[in-house]
Amino acid sequence: MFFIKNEMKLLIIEDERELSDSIVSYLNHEDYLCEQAFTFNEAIMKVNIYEYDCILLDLMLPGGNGLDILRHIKQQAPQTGVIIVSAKDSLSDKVEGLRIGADDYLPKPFHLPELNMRIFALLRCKCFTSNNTIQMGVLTIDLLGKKVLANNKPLNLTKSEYELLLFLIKNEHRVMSKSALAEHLSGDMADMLDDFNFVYAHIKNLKSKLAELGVTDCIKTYYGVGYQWVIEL
Amino acid sequence: MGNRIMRTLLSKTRIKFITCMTIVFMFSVPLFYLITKNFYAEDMMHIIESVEQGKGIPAIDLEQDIIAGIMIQFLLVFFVISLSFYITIRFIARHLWHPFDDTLRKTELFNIMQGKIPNFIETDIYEFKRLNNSLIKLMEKDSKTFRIQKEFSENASHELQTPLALMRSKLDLLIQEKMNEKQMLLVDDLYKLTMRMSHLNRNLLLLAKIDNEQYADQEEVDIMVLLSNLLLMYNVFHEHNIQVKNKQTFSTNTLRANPFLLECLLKNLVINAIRYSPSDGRIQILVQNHQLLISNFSIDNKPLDANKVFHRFSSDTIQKKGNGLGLAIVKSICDLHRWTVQYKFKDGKHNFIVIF
Repeated sequence: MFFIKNEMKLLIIEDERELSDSIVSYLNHEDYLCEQAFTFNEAIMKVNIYEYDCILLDLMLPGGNGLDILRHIKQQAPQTGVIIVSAKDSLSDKVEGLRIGADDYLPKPFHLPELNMRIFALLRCKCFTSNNTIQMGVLTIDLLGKKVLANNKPLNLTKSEYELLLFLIKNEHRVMSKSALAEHLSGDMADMLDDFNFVYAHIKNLKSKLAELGVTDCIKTYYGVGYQWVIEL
Repeated sequence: MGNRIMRTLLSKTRIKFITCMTIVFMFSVPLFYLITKNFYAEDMMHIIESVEQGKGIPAIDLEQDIIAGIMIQFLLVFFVISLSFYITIRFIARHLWHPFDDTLRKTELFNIMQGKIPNFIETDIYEFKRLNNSLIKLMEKDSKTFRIQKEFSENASHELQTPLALMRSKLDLLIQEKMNEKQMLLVDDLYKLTMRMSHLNRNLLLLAKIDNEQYADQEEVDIMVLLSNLLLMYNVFHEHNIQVKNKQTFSTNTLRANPFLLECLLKNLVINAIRYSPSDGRIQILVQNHQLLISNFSIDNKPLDANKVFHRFSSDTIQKKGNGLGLAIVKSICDLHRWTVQYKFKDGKHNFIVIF
């Protein structure tokens, strides 16, 4: 049992219990070991006792400021990856957080698949030893070169199609809403767009490019509302 | 300074006037003496001298002398009093009213947005002191209310982010369940709603932050670079024909601005143009010396209400696509940078002009 997999340990520091539970519930599909802390003191205590690979940190906590926890983490275990998840979408907090040593900043409200993607990107960066390719059935994704091979033939994707593919694969077997995909693709432009029809167009292009190389039925569409990567390993 | 004796304006004026009159009288005493001696009392003295020497009364018109003397004295007194009045009104009153003048000037300049309460000059006049005190109290109260109100809208937006995040995450979990088409479409509607709410909330927050001057720092920004990055991103999502012309005669396109806000301004104007133009409509962006013009064809060929177009939630059109805050944000950003933004309707086109 010991050497099945080196599980990643996650700490979710978030005072809103339901949000914290939702995050845990979504991340259960990954091989993560999730722990929760709901207050400042609890967070400090857990950081002192255990070592984590990644910490999700809310800045506004009962009992103290999240930035102080961040400073504490950086003293105790500087190699820990930290993603700030904050309702306080303020530029100064973001700058200050990243200056102290946070790795990423995700403003609330966010989509759970997006959070999952950020965690994946962070852990990949932190574990230099890990493989930089993802093997998914007949697909091989080179994360460094941002290239995809399907049946050992190169798949010629645009930047957003590549992002889309990676996003789908990293959230495999889970249904993702059009708005989560739109937000991932367009960043903070998403809430300026009136419709997410471009998601449909991108999915269509991606599907047909995959089909050309013999990868079919990999993306399941739920009435044009949700999308899911369904191919098994 | 603190323990100066307070006096009312009236008693202060009285004291000043009496002092002034006393001084003028004292200065005019030699004149009185001279005039009395040489004109009025001259003949009397002649008479007294003559009588003392036993010569008898000389033939002098006493009546005329007395009348002239009295008139001279009367005139002199009148002159002295008028002079004191004049000096009091012309110079002393100005000095006395100076604190009032200062208070008035500073009150006129007071701007609640800046919240800076002026320092009135010290005064020992009771009424002015009272006026200054009550004005300061009023201003402090106003500034405080204003600040609380500003902070409230910022805090309210912050507080809304958490339930919105919660709602979104629940939807992300809900969509994992087995659902039929009808249920799925309902979930999609809910997604759209949370999207709209979070967009609205973000914009309200941005407005509050601009008002609270949280974007004070400025740097040199190249507007063409910002614009082309923006359009590059846009082309992924829209197929509008957007023309950008640069008629700049200067070698650089830089201007002093907060980069985040300038990007916001451009974003909102471009989105607005895309949103409210026919699907095949051409959008023109023109960058000229210290001027940016964005124009798009109108859908219904009707001008917007130029007085209301920059107000929050003023949109009166039926096709409500945005959330009614985009142009208000543009206006706020322009106000902060002291730029002007105008709306003009010409040849069936909406034109938005920003003058930097």
